[in-house]
Amino acid sequence: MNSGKSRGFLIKKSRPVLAGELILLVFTAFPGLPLSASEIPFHLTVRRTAEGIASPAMKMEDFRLMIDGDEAKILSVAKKRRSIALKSDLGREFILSFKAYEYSSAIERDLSTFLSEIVETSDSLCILTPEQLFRFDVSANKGSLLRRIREVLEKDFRTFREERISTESRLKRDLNGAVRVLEEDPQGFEIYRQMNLFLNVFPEQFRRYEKRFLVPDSKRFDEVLSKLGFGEGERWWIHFEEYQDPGLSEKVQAVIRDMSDHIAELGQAQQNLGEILKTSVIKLEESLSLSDAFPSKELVRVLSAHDVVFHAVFFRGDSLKEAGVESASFMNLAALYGETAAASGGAAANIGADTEGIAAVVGRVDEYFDLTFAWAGPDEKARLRVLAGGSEEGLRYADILTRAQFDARAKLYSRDKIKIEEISLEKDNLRFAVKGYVRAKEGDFGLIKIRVALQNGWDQEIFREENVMRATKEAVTIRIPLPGDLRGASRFSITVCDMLANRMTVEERDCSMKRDSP
Amino acid sequence: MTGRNRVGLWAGAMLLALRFAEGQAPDPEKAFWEGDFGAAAASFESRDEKALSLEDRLLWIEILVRTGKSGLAEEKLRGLSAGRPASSAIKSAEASVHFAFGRREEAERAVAEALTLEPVSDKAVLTRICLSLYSRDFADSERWYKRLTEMSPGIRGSALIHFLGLRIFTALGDASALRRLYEERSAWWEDRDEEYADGLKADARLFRKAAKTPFFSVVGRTEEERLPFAPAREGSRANVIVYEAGGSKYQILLDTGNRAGWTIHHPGLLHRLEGLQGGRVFSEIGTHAGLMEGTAVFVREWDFDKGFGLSGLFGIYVPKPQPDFYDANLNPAFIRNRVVALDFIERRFRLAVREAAGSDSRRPDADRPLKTPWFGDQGVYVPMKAGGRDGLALIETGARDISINLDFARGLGLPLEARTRYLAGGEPASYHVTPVTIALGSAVFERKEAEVWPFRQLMDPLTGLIPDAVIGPEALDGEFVLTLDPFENTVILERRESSPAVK
Repeated sequence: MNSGKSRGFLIKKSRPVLAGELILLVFTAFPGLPLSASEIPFHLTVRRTAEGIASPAMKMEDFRLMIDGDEAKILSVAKKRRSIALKSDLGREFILSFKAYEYSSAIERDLSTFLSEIVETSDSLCILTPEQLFRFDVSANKGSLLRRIREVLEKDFRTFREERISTESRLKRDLNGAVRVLEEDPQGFEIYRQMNLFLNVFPEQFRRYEKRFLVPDSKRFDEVLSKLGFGEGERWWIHFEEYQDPGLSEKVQAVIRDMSDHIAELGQAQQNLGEILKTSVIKLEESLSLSDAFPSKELVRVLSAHDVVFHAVFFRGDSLKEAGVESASFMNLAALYGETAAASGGAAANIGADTEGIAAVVGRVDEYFDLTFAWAGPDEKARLRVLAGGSEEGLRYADILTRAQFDARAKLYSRDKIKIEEISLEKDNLRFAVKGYVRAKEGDFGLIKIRVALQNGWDQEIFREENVMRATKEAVTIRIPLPGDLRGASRFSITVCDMLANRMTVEERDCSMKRDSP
Repeated sequence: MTGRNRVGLWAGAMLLALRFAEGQAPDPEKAFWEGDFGAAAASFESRDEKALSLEDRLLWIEILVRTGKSGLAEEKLRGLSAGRPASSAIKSAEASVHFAFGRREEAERAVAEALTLEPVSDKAVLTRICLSLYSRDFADSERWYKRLTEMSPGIRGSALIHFLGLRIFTALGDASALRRLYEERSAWWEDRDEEYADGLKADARLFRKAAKTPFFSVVGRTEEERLPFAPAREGSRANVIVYEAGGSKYQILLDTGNRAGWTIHHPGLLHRLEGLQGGRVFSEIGTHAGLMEGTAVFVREWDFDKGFGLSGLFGIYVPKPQPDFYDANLNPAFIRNRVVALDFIERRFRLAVREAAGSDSRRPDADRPLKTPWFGDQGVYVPMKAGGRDGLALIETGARDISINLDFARGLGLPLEARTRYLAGGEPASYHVTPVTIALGSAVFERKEAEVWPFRQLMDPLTGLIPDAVIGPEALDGEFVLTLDPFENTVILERRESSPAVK
């Protein structure tokens, strides 16, 4: 690229359009957003499910939005789609989380594919191990990146495995103690004393174990996403979950059964004691029930509030490859992860001997409505309801938003960003000015991606020009020569991406392409 | 800028050699054999040149040659040899300088004189080995290599000898010798850097597994295979073949500039071909700045299509720097048992047994503007003429069009116009353009704006050889067939029309 010309784009210093130049019919398609000082244009992602009546063809007038029971004015509704496999104008944010006990060949393969085939140097990458969160700079040296990620994963998986082994052995000791009590069959108040001791302490310990090793912790998801802040680029969370044996669950279930039998056998005189024990056993039983313990709804809510698409990938560790049988609890967990993924626009997949889990999820296309409304945010928490065609059935969106979640977005949307101004069509030249992009401190340049596309009356793209340029001035004027043979009603869109700030602006206009006689 | 894809083994050696130099000024002779030319040059630069002995000044010349400063080396040599009787050491340095400039015949003469004067001159033998290697007389290079290691046991375990051995035994396809080299090197590193030693052990294991596998060989009974080039994408090279497997299409770039011979970039392809991985390597990839990390890799057999396949592919695995990069990169110049042709007219890759090799070149309107001995064990160097001056061109099908070495352009007095381009990683790179006419035999290539770059990154650190020009596939596209014959050791450029290619 030379300093003055960039493959089809003529760059000049900004100047106003000269009076008297021929301007063809051009009008603004969208009115400006009526925002008060405290309001931001809030974007809500709304997805359809199979059960609802909403159709992809629905328009703005088909939607209604209620915030804490009051109707809010919707400013725009745009139908959008995204997929990891589709090219994105802005750098994307990837969060890869792992719950695994060994760095297996399956992880190595999927991670290699991810780094080599998916992630670009403009993307950002976070790795959430069972122990901590890491942010990695994505360089072109993917081999080095893979090695560094492998090192942290190997270390943290080892720690996680050791922690699980020691926690399980502690819990097993307690369980064996309870089994001994039942076997010794103490009579009278003694059985109550000893069983109550176990039931007072064990359920809480087991719940912590379960949260740490067996089910996802939605609070942790929220913490991570809040820490990362809110950006304009797409956000993708890919979770890797290793198939695991049922752990202590089966043993605990056996103990519960034995305890229940003993309680049932307690005599009439000890009925009250039996009732107390029964309540404690039921609580323990409840915490064992994965479907109840798994906060699927809460997790979907967290992901939606942060507008993250979640994919889940399941795999076998090398040492479990031959095991064959999956535990019921893991299948339950996998199903719930699958539901979470689907609700957030993502997918779930298994890594097989010849299949890469990552390859199965990256092609998944998330289709959604981007619903925009002016909002000053909730005091603490707001409940949102969206209706499409008069019904709220079959729609998925962030139905509860907290002030902190709103503030994260407000911080982004209230900041100035790249602008497109002075748009004009003069003869066969489209001219516009680009301003407000971030410029690097060193070298004092901005990096802008510009795309101009023209569609005919049948929504067919008839012209496209795209380029990336370094801009050293505060503003640049772009002139793009359009093909001279374009006729009739058209619509053009100008997309400008500030590559350093990772933000973009799109301007769309209807226009009539006709050449005036000279 | 020309595309580059160099095996990183040498770079790895350089990095390690730097450790050798840590904390103390290195002995330049020792640093030379350890391949640490930068440190050796620095130690000379800090000293008063006039106070240096003749031996040191000649060593400095050998080092300058291998740090891309052949012009300066030649100037110093001229000053040294003037008025002095011919000695083996001077003739040896002269041979090195000639080699670095690609003056093969002069280098041959000088090295012969040096060895006549002193048959045990280690530098002269080193140049002799490299000349045989580049002339593709691999058995001869092995003989001289053995002689060097026997007559100079002190340098036997050095990095330079190690990497020289790798080049020779890779060319010979001698897996046992390669395994021994890696085991010896690993033992040397054992107490110094355990992790690096482990990587070398992993490489040795690869060669153990390859004991009976012919290197870079076509497997199959057919006399001839013709693989069509993939339809060229906008801005991409023509010389890409497609391997289809398991519902995926992998794009393989045929790149005569790939010094590793074989590079896998797609992890899925690595898995599908059951590629075995060895120790860490570093390599330069395309126009990406810096060294990319990867591993050594060995593919025992690759069933490409309908009984046709390739065996014994040694090389490197380097994950793609960006997702739209090629999935693999194969250097056709490494194929040992077939005459290979990159047909830029019919847009196909042709592999033929020796007997069938001539059948495709009987085009009624074909002529052969260039038929020359093949120079280069890892690439394709051919003689060229530009501005009335002889030079050496590298046919580099991983590059783009024609580009010129800055020193060569300056030597010709070509007008240079400055330009800037942003590389794949976003770093600005300055270069020039110039009008130039290059002749390869009777094929004339005229460019109004050929790119001019400093070609130091194309330098072979073993010899300091830097090509004067690079001929990329865009120069050949639609007009030429490039044939590489490993039996006759010839390079043939065939074309349909004889008009000069003006772009």
